[in-house]
Amino acid sequence: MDYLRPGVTVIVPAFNEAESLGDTLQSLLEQTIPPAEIIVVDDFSTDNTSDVARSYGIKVLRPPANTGSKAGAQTFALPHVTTEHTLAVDADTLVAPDAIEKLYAVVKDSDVAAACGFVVPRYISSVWERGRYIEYLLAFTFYKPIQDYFGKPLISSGCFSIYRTEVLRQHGGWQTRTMAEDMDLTWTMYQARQTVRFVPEAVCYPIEPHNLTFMRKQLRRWSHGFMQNVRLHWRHLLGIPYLRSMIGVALWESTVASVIYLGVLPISALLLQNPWILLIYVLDAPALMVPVLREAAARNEFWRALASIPAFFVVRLVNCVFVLEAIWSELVLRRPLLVYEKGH
Amino acid sequence: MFAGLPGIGVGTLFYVLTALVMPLVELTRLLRGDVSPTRWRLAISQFCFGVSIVASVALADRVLTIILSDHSINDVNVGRLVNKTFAVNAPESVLAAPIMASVLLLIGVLAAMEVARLLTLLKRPETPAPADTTHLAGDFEL
Repeated sequence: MDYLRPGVTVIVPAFNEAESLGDTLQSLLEQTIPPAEIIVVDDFSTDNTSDVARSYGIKVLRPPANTGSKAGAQTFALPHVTTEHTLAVDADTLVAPDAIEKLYAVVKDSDVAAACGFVVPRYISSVWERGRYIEYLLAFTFYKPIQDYFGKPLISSGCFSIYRTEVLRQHGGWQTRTMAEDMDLTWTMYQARQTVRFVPEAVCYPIEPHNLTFMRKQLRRWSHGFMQNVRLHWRHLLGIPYLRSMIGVALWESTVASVIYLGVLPISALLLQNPWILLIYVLDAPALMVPVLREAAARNEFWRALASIPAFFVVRLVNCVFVLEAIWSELVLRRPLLVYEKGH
Repeated sequence: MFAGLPGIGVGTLFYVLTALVMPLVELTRLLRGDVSPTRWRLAISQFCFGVSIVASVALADRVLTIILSDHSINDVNVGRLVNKTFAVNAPESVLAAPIMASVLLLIGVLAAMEVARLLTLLKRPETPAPADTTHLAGDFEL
């Protein structure tokens, strides 16, 4: 094993990210604890991604051919890391000035294998961005702190997470065997009895899909990635208390929800000629609003969050289509999604 | 339940129940001499979210009950599943049936996970691994 010096190396995988990369690099350079090194992996871009990175004085690596996925690009850079900790940041993600400091404080001098931060969409304009904004506020305010309390954050988010380099190397870096490499890595760590933490004070701002075309690509990747990880890890996960309950509930609930929202509700409303049945689409709105509006108020975004809540229900309905499609092809037909389609 | 996966409230119910348990877990740890103000803060804040969510759902139920007619309420009265007498005496609630469905689904899923775990254990007994002591609250059965 090579000697690893204290500090953080940031890996930024990039494929045609010339437009957003500059802001990401600027935010990394302005950190209260500057990283020891920043490495941009230009995954055979056809735009001037490399030039943008070099204009900030950043080291650029270029694989001999396109690796085909974010995971491939990140793992390509791993042998070049010489520090004890590695931070993965997406090329379209802004990082709050103290975010690395907050994450590093948790992993430094401890045996924590990975830690992730609070994610907020950078732009909140279209219905898709607004829906995602509410999803994130709910997940990172209510679900994730509970998961962290019980020692099992479901995913150390790929857009902004810090890892012990030694642990990353032990697991062969980010694997390309699923469409959700961050989930795969997190669950692999749990199987190895390693600790993952959620640090809500470390905030990052990725660009989320602004239209249905990009949203479709992302949701397809996420839905298939989840099912692929369930297939890959289920036997081992059954031995991990709390995590198995979370995953079991997520799997069954998403399946049942998709069938109910896309089939049972509209058909029942039509057959029984009772429009009140459609209220079930928004029945959990009060439960959703409590953590979302509380967090939004703390961020001075109360009205923006309130106005975005209807978008959450639109995005949820669209999610259902992709979940059913993923269940059908991954779990029933056993035809995995193999092509990584970039969609932010 | 989390970004990208749709839910019908079962996940929320799961986390609400977990949040309500957190102060009890902390109390148990306190009695064992393990005190952490950070953990207490988190347990209390998530517990408050849990209570607020339950209160908001109860409030929404009352509002819906007022808005909807008696007929609509009787259509979804979960008491009807037991018998007519029970249905008559059951409190008026529009949300009772969906909530009952969520509770039953949650119990079913958690039981199924437990059965699946026991089946895999019977198939291939595993050697016990060292306890994971680094996380905040320890392994927690649900």
